[in-house]
Amino acid sequence: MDGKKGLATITLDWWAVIVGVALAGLVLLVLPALPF
Amino acid sequence: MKRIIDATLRLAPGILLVFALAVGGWFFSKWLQSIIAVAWGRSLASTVIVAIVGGMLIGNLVPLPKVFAAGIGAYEFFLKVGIVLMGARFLLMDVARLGGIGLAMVVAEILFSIAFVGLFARLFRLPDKLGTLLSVGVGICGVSAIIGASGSIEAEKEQTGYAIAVILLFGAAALVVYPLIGRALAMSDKAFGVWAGLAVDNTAEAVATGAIYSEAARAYTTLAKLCRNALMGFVILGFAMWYAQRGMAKQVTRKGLFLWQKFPKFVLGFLGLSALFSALLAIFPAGSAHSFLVTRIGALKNYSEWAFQLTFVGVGLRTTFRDMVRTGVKPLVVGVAAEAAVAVFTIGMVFLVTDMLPTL
Repeated sequence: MDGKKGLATITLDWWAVIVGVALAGLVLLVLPALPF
Repeated sequence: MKRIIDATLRLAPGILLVFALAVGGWFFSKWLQSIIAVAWGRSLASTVIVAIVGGMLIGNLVPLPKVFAAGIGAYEFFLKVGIVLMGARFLLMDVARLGGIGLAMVVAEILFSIAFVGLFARLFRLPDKLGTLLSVGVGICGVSAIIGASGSIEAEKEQTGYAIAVILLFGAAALVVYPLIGRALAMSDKAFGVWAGLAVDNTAEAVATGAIYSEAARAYTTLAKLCRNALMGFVILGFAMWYAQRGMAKQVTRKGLFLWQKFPKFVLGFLGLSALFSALLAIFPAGSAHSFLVTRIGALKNYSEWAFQLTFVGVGLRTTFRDMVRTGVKPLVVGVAAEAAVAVFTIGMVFLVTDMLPTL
């Protein structure tokens, strides 16, 4: 594995997982805590 | 950092176009539905159909500048995010039960299509590897399976292009033909959904076909399709080993790694969110925490709906009929025969087992 490539080594599938889980976290934990 | 900025600049125009069409199409669909008096007319103006048809009209009639291409191609990303988010609203138990029966049906479907397409490809004297690519495409999941397999069996680039064009052409046809057959046979959402998931090749088109039928059908379609996607690695490995044995491709040395590389990782995201929300609902079976969770799951469903809406616009934009007619007659004939045979085989299976499947 070439550590220098960093973000570019993450495949589309993994990006979908990251974005999906991040959105779930946002909707579950962050949005309800906002004052509006 | 430069890489990220470059990627953003490359993708932004197409993604913005897809967003604009998805949002515009949504309002247009709602407006159309408000002025159409008859029920079947309103269902034709559904947000799903407006997104796909709108995309097709623009993709085929408007000469889009090249700057949009990369971003339009990114709809596959939205599809996968939509599927990951969908995990939140399925209980893991249901996924496991449907997945168990689904996997058994998928194994039967894959074996059938590989045998059938292989036979037909021989009959029409298609090159071996083109035949393999077609059977992988028809049997599993269309484009990504074909691309995965073409590398592993060292197929020619032109053959790969042919196979992809055939699969996309039938994906486009499925959007129209399958819902009509489903309505004609008065299939339930569950039966139609599973059928579309088993028989329509490419994931985006399969999900769209289910969605055109009904929202409930789409859920079954997605789950059945995920079972097929999950098996992709095994089938490609099988073919790779077969060609390697005949000296027509490189040996696969690390089979476990090969399977992991070919496994569609977004399925893990789907299962992960399903497990998380199932566990949370089990911990809070009632009370205010439970109703809070239910509203959050509803919110996530909205996000996943929009991700699918973007996908459907992308599917429409990508379906350019001009490219498809270049495929040539023979692969097309094999494709027609294979698709028809798989459709009949899978609808038979679905009618046999629908009652055994859990209701989502």
